[in-house]
Amino acid sequence: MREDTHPQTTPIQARLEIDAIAREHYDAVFRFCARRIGPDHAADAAQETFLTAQKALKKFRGESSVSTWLFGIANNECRRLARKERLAPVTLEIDPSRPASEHSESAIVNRQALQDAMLKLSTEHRDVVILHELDGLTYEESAEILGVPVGTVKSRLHHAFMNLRKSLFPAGAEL
Amino acid sequence: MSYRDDLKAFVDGELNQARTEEIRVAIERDPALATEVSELRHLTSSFQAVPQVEPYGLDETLRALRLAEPRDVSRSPDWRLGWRLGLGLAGAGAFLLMINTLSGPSGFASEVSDMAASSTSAQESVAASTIERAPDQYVAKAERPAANLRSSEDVRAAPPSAAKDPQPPTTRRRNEFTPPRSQANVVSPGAGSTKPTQKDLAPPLRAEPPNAIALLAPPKEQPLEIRVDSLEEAELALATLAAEHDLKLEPVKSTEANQKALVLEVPEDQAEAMMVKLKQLQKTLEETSKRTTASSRAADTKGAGDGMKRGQTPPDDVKPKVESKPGAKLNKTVRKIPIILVTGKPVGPLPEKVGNEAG
Repeated sequence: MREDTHPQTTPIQARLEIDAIAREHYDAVFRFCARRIGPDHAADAAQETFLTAQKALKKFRGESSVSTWLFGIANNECRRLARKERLAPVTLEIDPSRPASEHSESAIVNRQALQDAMLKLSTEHRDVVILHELDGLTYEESAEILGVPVGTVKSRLHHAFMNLRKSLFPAGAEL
Repeated sequence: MSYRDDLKAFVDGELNQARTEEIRVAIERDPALATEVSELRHLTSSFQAVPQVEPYGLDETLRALRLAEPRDVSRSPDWRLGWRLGLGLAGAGAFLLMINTLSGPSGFASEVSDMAASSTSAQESVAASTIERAPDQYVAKAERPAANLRSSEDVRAAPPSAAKDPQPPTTRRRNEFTPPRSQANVVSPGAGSTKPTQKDLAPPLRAEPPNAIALLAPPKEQPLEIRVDSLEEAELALATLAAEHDLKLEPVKSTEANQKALVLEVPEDQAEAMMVKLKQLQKTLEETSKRTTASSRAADTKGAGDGMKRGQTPPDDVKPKVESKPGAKLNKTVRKIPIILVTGKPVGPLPEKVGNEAG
């Protein structure tokens, strides 16, 4: 994948590049947006993300991975759209029509309970949980997208999970 | 820091070796920590089990990306030029008015007025040719109203074909090119100022409606040969360029397996500008091809996950559009620019259909 932009990239090269980037990363960006603002608005946010990325492509120096760079843009687009459309936070129930999972139901926490517990978290804690647990990003990548130090991500995750445990395993969380 | 603070990072494998080992030992000794770790793992699995939504809208995004920026860039110079032209004409008009006001209907004033009008007409002619950027020797107009006019009275007295033109000279449409008088091969039946020889008129002019544009055969043009690594990628680049400018890119039969022949149909007034862009694209593609040959081969062997891969057929929505845009460029002269994409072996003979034709 692209790690740096040649300083003399022509418009055609840039166009080919953004085309390839969109094809490769669209699904991930769409899902990233869907987890934040729901599938109904995810396509709009994803499109805005790539249009913004197209304009900013020249400035991208390859210091982070392309996906992290795109998620950072998508995160801002989702916030902007959520503010504009006054969207309620979306956590887990992004597609209720689909089956719960391939995992055994006994091995996981009830999805509704998990969603309720997520909604009790602060926005900061919820964001970091979504980035790490649902988007599958590392602490460093999450820190880059949120613009905070890695230690902050680690700390927020710790406290978020403490709160989730309190909601979902009240007896264990007393320990 | 207590062990408990690092348990989540431990579960996520985000701790260094030493700290990981430290916590592992602590968990073995403390059942409460072991329970906590178990619950954290339980929660993590629950998140992983959340179903994924099915994405949609990629095609719309790709279209939006294709249409995003270049039009503004291409429009702005013309807009500025038109604005300057308007200012220039307004200035000339004001000058004439001032002369007439100050001097009255004397012979000297009339002479100056005529000179100023000639100058305005000449400026207009030059400006029009700059706007259109069309090669003069290719295009002629059946009747040339505006370039021969010397004053606003003449505009009103212009032949019917000129009067039909809804646009004033300063806002002439892009496809109405008026060549300068000095062009030897311009056909101007209405004006009768120059008479072209028969060899200038190959193929001979058809009987045209009064205001139609007649086409003179352009000189034989060599096809633009672009040597690339991947024919599909180069075709995609050309298709993108064509889509940006609402042009028709048509594949034609090629006699060589390692070639792809295409014809780009460009309105005559955009032909020179487009040739410049094509040359830039040619340079870009050839340089990119040289620069990325090694890395792309490595990427090909790597398999999936690299986005648009070499050798991959571009999806339908990015293939060259064969159909022209609705209502586009009626009565407009079109130049067909032959392009040959070559990969691997040297290029063979020119495909039959590729040549210079006028639409």
